[in-house]
Amino acid sequence: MTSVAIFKWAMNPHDERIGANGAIKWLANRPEIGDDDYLAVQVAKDADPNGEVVGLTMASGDTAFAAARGAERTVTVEGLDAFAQPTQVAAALANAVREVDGASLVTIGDSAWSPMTPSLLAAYLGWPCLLAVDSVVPEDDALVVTRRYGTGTQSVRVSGPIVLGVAARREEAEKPGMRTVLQARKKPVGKTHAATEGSPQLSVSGIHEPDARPSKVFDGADASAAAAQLVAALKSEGVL
Amino acid sequence: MGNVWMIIADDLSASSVAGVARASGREVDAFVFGPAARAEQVARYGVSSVTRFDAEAAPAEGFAKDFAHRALEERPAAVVLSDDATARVLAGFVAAELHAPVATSVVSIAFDGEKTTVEQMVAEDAGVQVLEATGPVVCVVADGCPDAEEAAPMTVQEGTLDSFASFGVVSNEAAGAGATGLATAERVVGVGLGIGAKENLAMVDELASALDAAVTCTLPLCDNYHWFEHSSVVGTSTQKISPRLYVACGVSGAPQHLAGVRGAKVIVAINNDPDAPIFRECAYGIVGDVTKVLPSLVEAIENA
Repeated sequence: MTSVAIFKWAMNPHDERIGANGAIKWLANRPEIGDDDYLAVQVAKDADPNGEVVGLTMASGDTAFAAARGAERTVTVEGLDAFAQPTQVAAALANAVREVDGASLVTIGDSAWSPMTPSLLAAYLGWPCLLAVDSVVPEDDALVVTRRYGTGTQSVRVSGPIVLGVAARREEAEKPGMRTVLQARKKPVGKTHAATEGSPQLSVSGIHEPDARPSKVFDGADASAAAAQLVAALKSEGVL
Repeated sequence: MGNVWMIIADDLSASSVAGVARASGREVDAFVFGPAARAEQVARYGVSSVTRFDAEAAPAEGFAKDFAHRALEERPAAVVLSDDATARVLAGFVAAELHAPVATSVVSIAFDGEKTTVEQMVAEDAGVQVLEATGPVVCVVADGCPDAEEAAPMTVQEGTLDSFASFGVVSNEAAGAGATGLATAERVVGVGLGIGAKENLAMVDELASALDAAVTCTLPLCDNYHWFEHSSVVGTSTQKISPRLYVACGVSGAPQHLAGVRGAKVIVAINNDPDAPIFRECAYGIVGDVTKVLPSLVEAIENA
């Protein structure tokens, strides 16, 4: 099986600010490694320990992230603005996946940074999709995918091409060492041009301040008085 | 002029999704994936129709293509959903079929002829960006939007869709006891690093007991200090909650944690740092030493 593990594809919204002129400004100008990216590579490897894993990234700069975690090679998507809309990013990723011969599994972080991109990617590919995935186990010619479901988990047997949105519960336990990273940088890196023509987009017509949030803060220097004020307020809210 | 479609595949945020959909001024058609009780609850949110699709035997994600075909036939004016994983899969296929753009963290939708205007929260809720498109837009609703007012219940219609995926449910595993309580709790007390020491958790338990509340924690108290099970953590990488009251004790308000509690109707913060981000999110707060405030708060609640 050939799997495509997507990493470093979304801007970190924590870098988004409102500037003094009222416009949005970003503290970064390229996608960052997401919290789920390491698990996307791991799940691709777990799906077929003897198969090929191809790393795919929207980023420039160091592209050895997936290679350092087991990917045989990496493809970078070039020519797309870092602040592209989810439809454009998904279209570019879908086109890049189509160019990977024999790819039948795509793993991508089910990122809170851009929550619609994984399912758009699946839709553009025409492949089924499961999100909030914890892990996969190969079983005969299928995969058993465990994903978060309701307040618990659900295991689903899937066969055929699929996009899995992977959601890490914890930080990566053991990051690759410097020697591994340096070796990974010697692995092949290919490039492809972002094909996003015709992707539907929204246009920005303005920005304004949100409605003021009614917030009441009490001074806790006198803890008893503050507690009494808070309890009175919560009773008036009807939540006590 | 098409109706607004809402896709509901979870119980936590249906009311606020309906609130945004109804505020658009258009008729709202609800498509509910899951148990009958979920559909019956959605039927009370003032929608024009409710169609339920059973997702017990086969994951609803398999219906995505057929559901998108229905959207292409009926041409909704907009599609609204929460960030639930199943709803996002269905909406992604609808967006692709309708050739529609998508917006996240949406707080309002308006229509003017063929023009659709969407407002979305940006820069960690510091601003509201106004977006426009011609035709339908797929909108993931922001956490914490106002609930829809309840109305006379509509009759739930049962729908069927074909699956295009080779899916088979192998097993369903229930969550740990902590998570189960959190998902349905009306009141939740949260604890963060500001609690200071493990022995101070007894104060948190006393507050939770006084409030008849469940207890949750931030990620470091689980991963770094091992004071809680992972099922007790709330945040981006774990779970989201939407209680009526959330009391954050010694919680600074890291984005990772706030993303999990923004669905709470009333957030209360107790922290000794007046510049802590949690105070920008709360409805009420006390700036003070949490170990001194908590006993007073328990006493005040018991005397109320």
